[in-house]
Amino acid sequence: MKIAVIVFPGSNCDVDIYEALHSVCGAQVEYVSHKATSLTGFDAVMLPGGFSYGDYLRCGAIARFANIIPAIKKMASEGKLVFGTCNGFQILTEMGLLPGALKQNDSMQFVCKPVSLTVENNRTPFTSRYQQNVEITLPIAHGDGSFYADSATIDKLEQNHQVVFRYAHENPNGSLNDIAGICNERGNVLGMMPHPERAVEEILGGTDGLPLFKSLLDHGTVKAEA
Amino acid sequence: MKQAMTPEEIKEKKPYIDWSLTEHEYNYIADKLLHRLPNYTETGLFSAMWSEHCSYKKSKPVLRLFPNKGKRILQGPGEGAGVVDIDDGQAVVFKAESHNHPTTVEPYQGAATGVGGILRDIFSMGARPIASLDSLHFGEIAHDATMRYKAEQTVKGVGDYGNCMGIPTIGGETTFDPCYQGNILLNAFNLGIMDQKNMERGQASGVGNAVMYVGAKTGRDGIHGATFASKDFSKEHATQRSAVQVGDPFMEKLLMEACLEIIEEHPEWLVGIQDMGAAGIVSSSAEMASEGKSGMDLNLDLVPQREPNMSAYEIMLSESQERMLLCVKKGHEDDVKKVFDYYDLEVVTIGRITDDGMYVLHHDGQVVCNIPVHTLVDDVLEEPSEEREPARLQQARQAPAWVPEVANAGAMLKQMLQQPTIASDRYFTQQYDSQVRTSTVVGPGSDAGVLRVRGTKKGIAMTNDGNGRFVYLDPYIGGARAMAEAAANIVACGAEPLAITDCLNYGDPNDPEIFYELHHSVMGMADACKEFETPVVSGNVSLYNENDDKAIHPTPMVGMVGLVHDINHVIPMKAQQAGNVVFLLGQTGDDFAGSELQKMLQGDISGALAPLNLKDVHQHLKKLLKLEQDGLVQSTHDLSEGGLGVALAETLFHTELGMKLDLADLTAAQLFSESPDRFVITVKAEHAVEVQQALGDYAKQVGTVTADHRLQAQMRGQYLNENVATLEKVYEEALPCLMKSKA
Repeated sequence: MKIAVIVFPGSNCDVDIYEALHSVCGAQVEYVSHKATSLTGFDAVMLPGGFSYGDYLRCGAIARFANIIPAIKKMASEGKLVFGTCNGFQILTEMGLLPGALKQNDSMQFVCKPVSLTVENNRTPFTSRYQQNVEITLPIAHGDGSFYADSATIDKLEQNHQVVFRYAHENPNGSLNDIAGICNERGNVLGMMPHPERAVEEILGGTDGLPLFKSLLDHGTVKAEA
Repeated sequence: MKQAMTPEEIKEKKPYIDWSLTEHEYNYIADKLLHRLPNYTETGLFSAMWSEHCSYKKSKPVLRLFPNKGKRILQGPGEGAGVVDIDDGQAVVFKAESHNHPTTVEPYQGAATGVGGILRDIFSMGARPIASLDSLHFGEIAHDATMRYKAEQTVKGVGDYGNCMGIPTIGGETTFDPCYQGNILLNAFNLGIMDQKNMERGQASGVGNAVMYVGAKTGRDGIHGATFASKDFSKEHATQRSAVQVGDPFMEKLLMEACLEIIEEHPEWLVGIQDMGAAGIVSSSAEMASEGKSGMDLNLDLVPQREPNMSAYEIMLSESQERMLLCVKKGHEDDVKKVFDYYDLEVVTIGRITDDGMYVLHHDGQVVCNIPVHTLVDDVLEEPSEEREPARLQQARQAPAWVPEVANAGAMLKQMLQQPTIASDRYFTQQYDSQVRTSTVVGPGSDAGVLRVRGTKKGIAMTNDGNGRFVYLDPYIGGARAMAEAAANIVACGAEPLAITDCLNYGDPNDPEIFYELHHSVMGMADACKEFETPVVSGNVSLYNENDDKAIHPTPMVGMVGLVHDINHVIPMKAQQAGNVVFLLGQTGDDFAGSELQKMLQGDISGALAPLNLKDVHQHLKKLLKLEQDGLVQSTHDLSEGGLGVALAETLFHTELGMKLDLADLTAAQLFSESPDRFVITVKAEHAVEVQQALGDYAKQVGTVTADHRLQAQMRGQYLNENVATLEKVYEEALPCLMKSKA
């Protein structure tokens, strides 16, 4: 299984997700420039965190016009795994692969700290190694992480079990329904604000993010339904 | 373009006085260096390059006191940043820089561009920046909405820039004191890592080689920022707003990636590289030419400009951010351009290297500057300074020491934990991404920040420490104590101190008492540097930190870096396990002069400091480090502001543990004494004898770690018995509560 990590101008968690997959999980990973137009030969694609295009205009709003975007959409439509964390999640909503939008945190401040989450759906290719409803701790680091969608969309996300991660105990940014991460209907596109790639080694303070990458590697090119 | 004044008009009207060039200097330049009258542009260049900020003309005699050589030192002061060998062919590159004046006037942009500037210093050396620290000193925020706004915006400026760049801010310090009310301090520290073979220099040489300009366009922002930093504030400072620059971290991220790509993959194209910091194009280009012993011929019409009709003077002195200057070997201009093109960055060849030693500028078809390079960089007149011991020091030595009585140690501890300087600064530090690049082993809130070096067993520890109160009360001892505090923080996490950078923040050095503070505090620091074998590899001087003639406390900031030999043996600050034995290291005396307790109870500080035996401190640090490296220490926390009481509480916060201690030989007040050279450590019971033997009289076994969440201690005539959860609550809530208050 070969995994692409997209590098947009201003991506800065590209190294983190690369190292989590490569050094920790031993996966085959390559950086792919935003200027590339094809992802042929890749089985999964990662959209890293950071500040693509400086987050100018609106988080993710410029990245959706990058040359690589059609290739990412093509992978999603083929049922291959597409994962975005933080800025990657914002980009996924801006490019329409996931519904809703990420607004500025209620506190109007950037916040970096560990948060508690519950795994709400372990029947996705990204979460199969977690127990259903297990509580985990992952770091967040964002200024615009408040998930918003109209009530019909929220209802649909809930009914379809597309809410994959939910903040437990404390909602750090004002997200509706405490939503921390969602997948598409088919279950092969996941976006989340917390950073599982920062929680894959004990020395960094925890390993609760590791099952996500292991699940993803288990599934490889298998197409899954939510 | 016509010059704004003729050379004769300049001589007569003396506009340079406003640019901080003295008449004596002007005459020296005209009579002794150029043997003619400088024109308008040339006069502007001299005033910027001869400012204290660029030339260190006032502080140079003092800076010479610092040791800057050592077996691990690959590059000392003089380049963008210092370089220190960390074995395996790797090096760390670090520096701290002040941005006090801009941050005081416009906190958000001042702080942001302070971070941006220090990052360019690091990556221009060929290193990838991997961690930042800050040192923030604000006025009192209680009942002062303006100061709260400034604190909030300063922190946001630091955070937004570093977060966007993807460089973790892993620690620092924040203090509050009325002396910073009119002049806040922002010192930004950054550390980078590189393979030693990639080390770059800010030099330009080789006749015909290209001078290439990269990055943001040049605008009218920040003109005379360097001289702005070399004057004190007055009520007029509202009119100095245009001296503040505006930052664009996204541009800087691209610039960093592009520069590092060239340095790492195509070093053969490059002769030298330097960032455009204070005094913009002129300082970067003249310093590079001076370093390469070359001349330089630049055409200013080629400089990318953001605004129309800029004069040569404005182009040369603009401090627009996110710009770099490269000296590229002839024939590789297009190769370099291709790399920058990929990042959509503007890159232009603006001139060539010559061999006549002249600095020549063309603008609008005219030669607007034609002067020897060395006159700008090397011929600066050092200014002799007068010094006089401040009268308060004499008085303090004669006055009886202030020794308070504390009736209720528990109540006092709670009050102390809420003082803004002592309380948790999580409200600020959680606005910084402290984890990006996934190498942060110890983040904000500990004695020092620690990063692992990926692919090795090594770790790098770093801390920023400054305490203006001690330096104010005794410059020499205060300077030495700042060093001792930094070294204690490094050793507390199990690292070996390697070297330091510094920011020297003082008032107007033309005041003999302030020059005395500068001189004697640097003597104290330098003596400690020699004793601890931690040379100074880089640094910066910020003078004229005054507002309406009221100077800040002299506040030298020490940025110390240490090496952790095995990252799996980083020593935590927190107590680890019930049953462990608690040792108090060092002597606790009636050291209340300059303490947080004195400030809180008296409203001001006074008194004399007890001398510090640097040799003893060094021996203690070495012995403690050896025990830590041998695996005999479970936790270490150094004692600083708030003394033993605060340190004990901090050792227990965010654990479920408590302590039961016998401190019967201490008064309740001594729980808050700030005697130096002290630590609280916890060790496993089976190691207690060995630890006691190794440390001898320096250590005293005072009790055990308990499973209940209470801090209990028998003091002389009092029993302290507090619920740690209650203490933690007041400690955590104090700062957010103050910051959000409406009063």
